[in-house]
Amino acid sequence: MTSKLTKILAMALALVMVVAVFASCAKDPVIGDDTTAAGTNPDDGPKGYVDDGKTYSYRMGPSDLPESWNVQTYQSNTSTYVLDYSSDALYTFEYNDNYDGYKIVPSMAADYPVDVTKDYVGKFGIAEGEENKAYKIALKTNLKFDYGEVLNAKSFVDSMKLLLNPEAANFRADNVYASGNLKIYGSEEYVKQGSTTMEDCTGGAGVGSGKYTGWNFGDTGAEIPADLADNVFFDLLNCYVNKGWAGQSTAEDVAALFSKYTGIAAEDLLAMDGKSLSEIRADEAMMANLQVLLYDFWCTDPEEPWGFFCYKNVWEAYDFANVGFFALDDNTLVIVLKNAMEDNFYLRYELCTSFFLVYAPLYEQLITKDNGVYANTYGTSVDTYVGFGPYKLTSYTEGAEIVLERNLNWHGYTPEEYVEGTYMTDRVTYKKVADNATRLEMFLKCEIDSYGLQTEDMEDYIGSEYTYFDDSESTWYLALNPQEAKLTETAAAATPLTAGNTVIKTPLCIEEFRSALSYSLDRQSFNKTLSPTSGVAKALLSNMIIADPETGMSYRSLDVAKDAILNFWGLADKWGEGKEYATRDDAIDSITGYDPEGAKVLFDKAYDKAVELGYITEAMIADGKWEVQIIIGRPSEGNYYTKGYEFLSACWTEAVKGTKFEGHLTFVQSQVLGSTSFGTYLREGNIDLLFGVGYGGSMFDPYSMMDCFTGSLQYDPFTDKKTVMLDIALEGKTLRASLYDWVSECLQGNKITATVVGADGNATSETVEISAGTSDPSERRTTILAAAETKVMTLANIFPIQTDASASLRCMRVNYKTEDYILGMGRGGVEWYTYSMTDDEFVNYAKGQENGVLNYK
Amino acid sequence: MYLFKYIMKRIGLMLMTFFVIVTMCFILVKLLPNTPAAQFGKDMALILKRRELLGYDLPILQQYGRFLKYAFKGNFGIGETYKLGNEVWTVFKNRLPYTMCLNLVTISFSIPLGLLLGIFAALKKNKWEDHVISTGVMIFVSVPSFVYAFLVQYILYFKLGWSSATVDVSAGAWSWTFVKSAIPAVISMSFGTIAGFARYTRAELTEVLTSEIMLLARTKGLTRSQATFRHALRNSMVPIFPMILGEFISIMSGSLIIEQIFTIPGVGELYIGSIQAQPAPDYNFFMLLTIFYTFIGLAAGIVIDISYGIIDPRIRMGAK
Repeated sequence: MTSKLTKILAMALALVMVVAVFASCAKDPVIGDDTTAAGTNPDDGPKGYVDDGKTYSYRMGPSDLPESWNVQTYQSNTSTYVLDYSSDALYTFEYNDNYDGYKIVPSMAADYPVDVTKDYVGKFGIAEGEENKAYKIALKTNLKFDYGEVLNAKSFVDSMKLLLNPEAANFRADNVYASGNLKIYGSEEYVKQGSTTMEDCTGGAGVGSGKYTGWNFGDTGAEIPADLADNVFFDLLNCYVNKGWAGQSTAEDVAALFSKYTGIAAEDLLAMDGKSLSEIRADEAMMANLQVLLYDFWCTDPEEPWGFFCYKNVWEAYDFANVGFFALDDNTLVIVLKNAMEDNFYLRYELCTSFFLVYAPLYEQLITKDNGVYANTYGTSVDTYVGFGPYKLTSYTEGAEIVLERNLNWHGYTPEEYVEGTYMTDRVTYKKVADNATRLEMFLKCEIDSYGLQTEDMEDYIGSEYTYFDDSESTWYLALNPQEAKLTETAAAATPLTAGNTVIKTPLCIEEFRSALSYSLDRQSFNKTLSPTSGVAKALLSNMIIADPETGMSYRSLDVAKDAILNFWGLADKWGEGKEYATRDDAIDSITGYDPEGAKVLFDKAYDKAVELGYITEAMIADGKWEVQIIIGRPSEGNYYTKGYEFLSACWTEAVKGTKFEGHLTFVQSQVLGSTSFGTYLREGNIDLLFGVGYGGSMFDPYSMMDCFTGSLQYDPFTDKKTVMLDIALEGKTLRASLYDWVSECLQGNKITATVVGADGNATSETVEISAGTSDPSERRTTILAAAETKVMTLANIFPIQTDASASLRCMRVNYKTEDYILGMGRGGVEWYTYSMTDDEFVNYAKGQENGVLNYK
Repeated sequence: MYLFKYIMKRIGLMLMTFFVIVTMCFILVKLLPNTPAAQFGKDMALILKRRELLGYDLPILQQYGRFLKYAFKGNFGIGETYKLGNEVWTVFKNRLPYTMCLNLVTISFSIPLGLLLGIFAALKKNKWEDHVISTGVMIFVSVPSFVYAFLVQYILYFKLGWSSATVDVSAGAWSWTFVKSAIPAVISMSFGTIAGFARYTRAELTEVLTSEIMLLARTKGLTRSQATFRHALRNSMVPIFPMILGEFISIMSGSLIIEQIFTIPGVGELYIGSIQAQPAPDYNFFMLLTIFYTFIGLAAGIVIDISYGIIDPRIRMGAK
């Protein structure tokens, strides 16, 4: 018996030894190129990513999936579902050492950019002594596309050439010369070659920059400078847009608008449209009309008439060799900028890009020119796409699901780069789930790993330990149309809700009326009804906005930014020792934006003004048959706008009770305006009010975003921001300039001339040239930003109502890197997610629960 | 011969109608506003250049000529505002099998079931069986299918765990995997079809059963079932058969709501999606779908008309 047992034990021992020997001979499951070269002994050093044989998938169920993810043409955010995981960038955001902030680190780049401007003096428009215009970026030597082909500097250059292909006019081509701060030299010239564009005469590309200052259109005796005669055109629509106005979209509409102001017949204005300067001067009637339009009515500044003309710019043939984007060698990329950029946060932030990298051989194969139209099917299926990121697209069923799996050719998994504890996720999957209720059911049954909470879920999950709240950089506003002419016109065409009533809209021109609408809106109740995760917005810029990206300092934590809020809400002198509020923060906390009694007073004041101005006539008062009808815009279908409309109309109907507007305020909800064109309806004055609208995407650059309130995208183009003056105390002086100059010029880095204001509050003869761009002191920028923010709000055409915030449930098996939301990093994303259970374990765990449903409450 | 002439005439008229509809649709969709909206940081000149390359500034008839030239070759272009960059025909071709498979499975059991229920109700007219079926029919006819869809999904998936929430497309459309996972969708879609057929069959059969030919048949010595199946049912099928044919023809049109709820990548959403695309309708998708469905609709009309003559020889198409 003992001998038998000994034999069995001996055999077992031998078996274990044999298995051990085989196991040690087996190839180490180290993933990633060159990982085996790390050393024969796995304990010698870093091993790179090691496959532990377990599968962890991060599964999502969005309501929509991308149909294409061609990085050079995509127009939908859903495209990032594929691009975010299957592509990479030269530099990338990463947690700082304490995991409480961010830093920008090289990813595809081997090191930070090096200024090589002096090497290119005399080329690419670089003059002697210039700096920060050309940068050399060394690339890592182990970059590969996801199926193994080498990726080097030439790949970047080839892709740039495809991006800027003049035949393609790719949607993203302007990202390298129009959007953002980084503009590649010669890129615009290359993409536009062979075309003719109509441009602003006052801009640098045309005849502007003061070249023809003082030349008088009306001086028919004077000779027209030769280069002006046939290249400069009177162009109604372009001049309207180029002057920074918005709202009209056809020459006919602009003519009708100008006609109202000038008395010139619209057809006469249209007759001038498109005519060259010499043609207009040859026609007496046209010349006379032009005189009226330009001098008698519109322009006060000698250069201003240029704004009504357009320069016909014919773009000559341009060689790609003159584009500031080339390879110095296989692994060195040189980027030449049109405008100098210091090597600071903003440059590196702009370099968090792959410069629209595609796999050129496949891309070129997929180009078609049917119907004479250039088209490309790159990035529409697994076969038509090659990535270069941590995950590789392995399955795609259009309209149903996407699967991305670990890309073992990615440089980030190599021993030199792999960071222990990152990229535990093996697969990223998306399954389209159109309905929220279904998505929640799937989440509770462990079939997807994230769920964004909806208004109707909040009651159940608001207190859950798995619920996470995220603020965004956007703020939602109430935007109103204050333009008298358009309000009069639309009122005349409106149908009264009560038969026999006269419809008026002009009370909206009165500041008190608009302010009353704002103060009578109970923002807290509004949020509770529509978006329980949102907070009351007290200013234009949210808490997530970064004032100084170098340090990550939040804008709203600055005293000037807090004062902007307090100034607008009238609490500037209500805080301090012995006052109503001990600190600025206490005073800000007390703001709800809701003052129904104050609103009633304002409504009555507005009524008196409306009577005084003749908006409400004696006859209307006598018979009582009148209504102020407000059309509330509906950008898209959905509960938010439907419930919002119901809330606002009920709230304001109640608010005017006891005032002179009682029973005279009516509301109409517009048809669906379209998610990209709703702003145009307000700008054109075809609706009277929009709610839940705003601007986003500028967390690190609120200075550019502020231009949305003064530039061509503003919701209120009717208030000329060039005539709205703003005094700002800066560096010991009080300076005065227009709101437009402060925001659209000074904050964008252009020098403006500001007038110094004396102690008596009057302008002096002293002027100061000042700019507040990325290279100027941060304090100057924030001071101007805060002052502009208050000023825009006091114009009372746009009111902050709601912060953009969301809530989501964290899956039980997923752990975030940081519990707090870190600006720039969130909670780590897929890179840092860790899992307590594999896919199979999680499924089995769910099966053990009642009905297979987990309890997240 | 009469029938041949009739068919030729109908085909000729169909082609003319088809051409008129397609032309009208092209012109009307091109007349819809398509002004590019200014976007922050976007170069409008680039957007306008792309539109110029697409031929949007050409006269509409010239654009139509370009469209016809390539459409005749089977080239419908690439999505510009809807499913950007995707070949229009490829998207349609890839999605159609899912819709067809779903509809085919649905009608292959819902039509027989609807007919049987209708026959049964007619035979049990005014008895409790008839009342139960008729009440059920009224409910299922009047309540929209997406309501059942949510209920079916909730019960079968969430409560009982017998099915998945969405369909499994991993093995393609014509696979058992897809069909099995699509059972909740099939059930949801079939309620309306079953109810429709049951109601119609009951009404038709009831009418025939109470007619004099049935009395004659019975007096000739046929049993009730013989009379019902040989005479009543055949007569009542004259208006019902074209309905069945119509169902088969409509298998190529998808159900927007059902397909969305169960994430079926079918053709249901394409038409409305192409029209609602922002900032403008997608002309290429819209025109392909218009051509396809117009042709199917017109061809179905001819087939159904001709089918009357086959079911009931008394009906002579084109005869003077």
